[in-house]
Formats: sequence, C-alpha cells, structure tokens
Amino acid sequence: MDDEKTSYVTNPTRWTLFLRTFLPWQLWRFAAINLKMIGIIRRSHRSHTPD
Amino acid sequence: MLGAGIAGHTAAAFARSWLGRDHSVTVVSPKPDYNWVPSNIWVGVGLMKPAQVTFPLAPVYERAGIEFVQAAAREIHPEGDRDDPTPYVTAASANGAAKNVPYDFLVNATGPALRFDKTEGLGPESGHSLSVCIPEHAAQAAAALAEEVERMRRGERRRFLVGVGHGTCTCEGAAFEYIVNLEFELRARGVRDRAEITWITNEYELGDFGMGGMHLKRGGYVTPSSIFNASLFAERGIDWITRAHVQKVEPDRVCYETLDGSEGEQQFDFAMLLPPFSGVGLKAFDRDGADITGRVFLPNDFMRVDADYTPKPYEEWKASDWPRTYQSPGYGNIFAAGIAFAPPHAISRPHAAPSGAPIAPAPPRTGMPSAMIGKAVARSIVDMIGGAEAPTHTASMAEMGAACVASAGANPFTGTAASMTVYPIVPDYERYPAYGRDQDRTFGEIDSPDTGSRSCFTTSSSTRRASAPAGA
Repeated sequence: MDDEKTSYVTNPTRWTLFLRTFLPWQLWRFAAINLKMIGIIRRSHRSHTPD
Repeated sequence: MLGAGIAGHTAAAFARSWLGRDHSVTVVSPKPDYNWVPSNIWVGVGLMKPAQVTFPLAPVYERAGIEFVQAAAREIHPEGDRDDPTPYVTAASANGAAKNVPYDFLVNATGPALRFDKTEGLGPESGHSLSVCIPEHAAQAAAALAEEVERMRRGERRRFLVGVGHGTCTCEGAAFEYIVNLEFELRARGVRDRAEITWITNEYELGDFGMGGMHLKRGGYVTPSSIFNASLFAERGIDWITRAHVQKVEPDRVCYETLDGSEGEQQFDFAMLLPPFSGVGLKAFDRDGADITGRVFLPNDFMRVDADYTPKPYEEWKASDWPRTYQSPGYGNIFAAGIAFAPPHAISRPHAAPSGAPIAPAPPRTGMPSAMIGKAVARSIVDMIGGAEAPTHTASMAEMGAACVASAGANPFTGTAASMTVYPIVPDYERYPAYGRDQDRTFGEIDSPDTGSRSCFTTSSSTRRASAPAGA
C-alpha cells in the first residue's frame, strides 16, 4: 500500500486490539450486537398496511 | 413463483403455509437446487463445498406440497391468449421443451442475469476473472486460490485483485466479504507476506456498499463508513482503487477509467470481480400476441412495480419513490420480489466519468430485503385470494433495516468479523434529516484477533510526517 493512503487512515489503538480478543468483552459485544440485530429484524418484519 | 432464490423460495414457503390445500403453489426455476448465496463466499475460499450451500428443491417441495417445475421462465402472458383468457407463463426446460404454466397470481422472483458480457474479458466462462455468484464459479475460485497458495509456498509473490468488474455493479458488500476472507485465508495458510491484495470498486468512497454509505456513532463522533472500511483494509494491508469502471479484463491485468477521466491498469495473478446485473430478460405478450415487454419491464429487464420511476435529480430522490407492495402497475395479480423488481433509482449518488460512463453502485436488494419482500408479497396474495381488493402488506426498503456479518475463518476464537446494520436501507431524509437513517439502529463494529499486519501500517504512519503536505 502506498504510504500516503495509509497515513490518513484511522488506526486501532492497543486498547481496541486488546478488546478484540478479550473474551468477557467479546461475549458482551456478541450478546449486544445480536440483541440489536434481532430488534432491527423484528422492526423490519412489522406488518405494514398500505396507506 | 418464478425463481427459487431467497425471495421466491420465501414467498413460496409462506404462501404454501398460509393457503389451504384447495389452492396450489407452483415454483418454476431452472436449477434443481436451492443455493444459499451468502455462503458462496466461503466456497470461494475453500472453507465450504458447493454441496454444503445447496440442497435439492424437489424433495423439499414434494413434502411441502409445492409443485416444482424445473424450467426457465421465458414469457409472461398476463391476459392469456385468444383462445383462453387464463394468464400463463411459458417456461423452457433444459432440453428446450416449452411448457405453459397457468396462474391466478404470479411472483417474478427470477433474480439477476449475471452480465459478464458488459465488460470485455470479464468472468470465468469466457473471460479472465473469477466470480463467486454461483457455487460452480465459487468452487472454481477456490481451486484457483489453492493453486496460488501453492505457488506462494514455493516462494513466488502473487497479486490478488478483488471487487467489481463494471462501473454499474452492485453487491459491493459481497465482494468486500470475499476480500476479507481471502486475506484471512492467505494469513491462515502462512503466505500472506507474499501476496499483494487490491480492492477495485465503483464506489465513490470505500464503505458505500451501494447504499450511499452510512454514518456510525463511534467514540463521540458520527463517522462515515468510509473511515471504518479504510481502517479495516489498512490494518490488513489491502490497497484500494475507488471510483473505477473496469473497461477490459486481460489475462494478467484490468484496464479501468476513473471519475476524474484518468485511465489505469492493475496487474493481477488472481482476480475475483463481480459482474453487473440486469433482469433475466423475460418477455411479456398481450392476448393478441403483441409484445408488451416495455409496459411490464424497464429497459434493464427488471420488472416495473409500484415505484415512482419519474426521472429526477439526486437532490429530489425520496424514500417514498421506493415500492411498497411490489405489485405490477399494469396487472394487479403480478408482483416482483427480490432483485427482479426495478428500483426507481440508485441509492448512492450518481456519478459519471468524462467519457459518459456511469461509475456508481446500483442499489443492493439481496438477502434480507429479498426475503422480507417475498414474505410481504405472499401475505398480500393470500389476502387477495381471501377477498382483499388490493395488496395488504408492504415491505419498502425505506422502511426496513438490514444486518450483515462479514465473517472470516470458521472458528469463534481465531476468526474475524465485521458486523453492521442499517435502518432503513434506503435513507429517509424527511424522517431522519441529518443522515437519512436512525443512528441508534445503524452501527458497525470490527471484532477480530490481531491481524498481524499492523507493523507494516505503523511503518507507513511514521513516514507520513515527512511526506505530508503542508497544512495536512
């Protein structure tokens, strides 16, 4: 990759990288993301009646 | 139901479940198998076999009480013919034999035609690039990848190019999933350091995905998805070319033009480039046999439904332009579901190169939206059979969300994933003036172990200080 391109990109911090492999945090995020997705899917499945 | 993909199969299954046994449900599809298309990505990197992403339709439909006709729909006769006013579809089986299938209600869920022919040299059948659109293509890509890995194990450096093969392609999300999986597999097989990986896309910015991008609340800021996507690529050492229209694919390179009018070449040893889509080319005829295809379909062969197709500039696009019931305006007993319906316009802002070539993603309608549309259409048809005069259910893409998990590596501890949701898919700036979407329901997150390519990135960052322009 050319340097100019990568130099303007957001880079994860060591803390972010740590959290990606920290099991308790990952279990929490897994639950949170799934709950959020289920909510969106349920909302999208709500019955709509044409106006 | 014409088609047994996500939309057609969902519509058929719900209709069968909701209708009494005195009604029949027939599926007309050219292929004997159902294909769970999202998993073709893993077939394309060798993590799954085609048999794991397909199953035979006939026994499933037999058990469910759905009639299955293995044939490709060619013509719709919505008024029947001079002898009989019963509407019917003409379908051709593999041996060329034509069969007329009568209907009271019709769902066109034929999906896309893969238009590799739109770009010279594109595609695995008569071109020089690979695809993961169907299981056979994906298996071919996996075999080619295995060959490249062997060459790298012998010490060779190889160049990989992934993305879209035309300026009007859609499904950038699928290509994105593939490049993330490809990079992961090369690392897992111990050859990542000998691979150069490049993303080529018609998106104006990374992370557009044909949805005009999205904005995510992170770290106290509302951040565009381009930042999220660029970070993910940089962390993995993936280079990118945006705003590109691939004009030609040669055995070892693609030739492309970009929005600023410049032309470029990108060499490759392995290229997975998705094709543009069109409708499958169904024809329609009135009772006298006159061709009415132009009334039922748009020039891109996708079916007209209850959308607002009035041409208008981007600034005047509205969420209400998008269809809600998917009913044909000309024939109340015909619906289109999934990719087969004609969108009123794109979602991403349109752009064209100085040559006139449009370079902007077409709107995605795959996966979750297809299933929801199929379900709503089935419900409306069942209600209309029960006496309702008009469709009773809607599934506007401006009123539904979508969720996507791009996962790489079939292991919860060593694999990686990027998850994202948007709500709604089509931005609604009247309801959500700031960004067109509900910011509490639009989010993205990367969850992955150390990619190991950070050291390269850190080096790049340190060189910036010397090369950054004044004021940067």
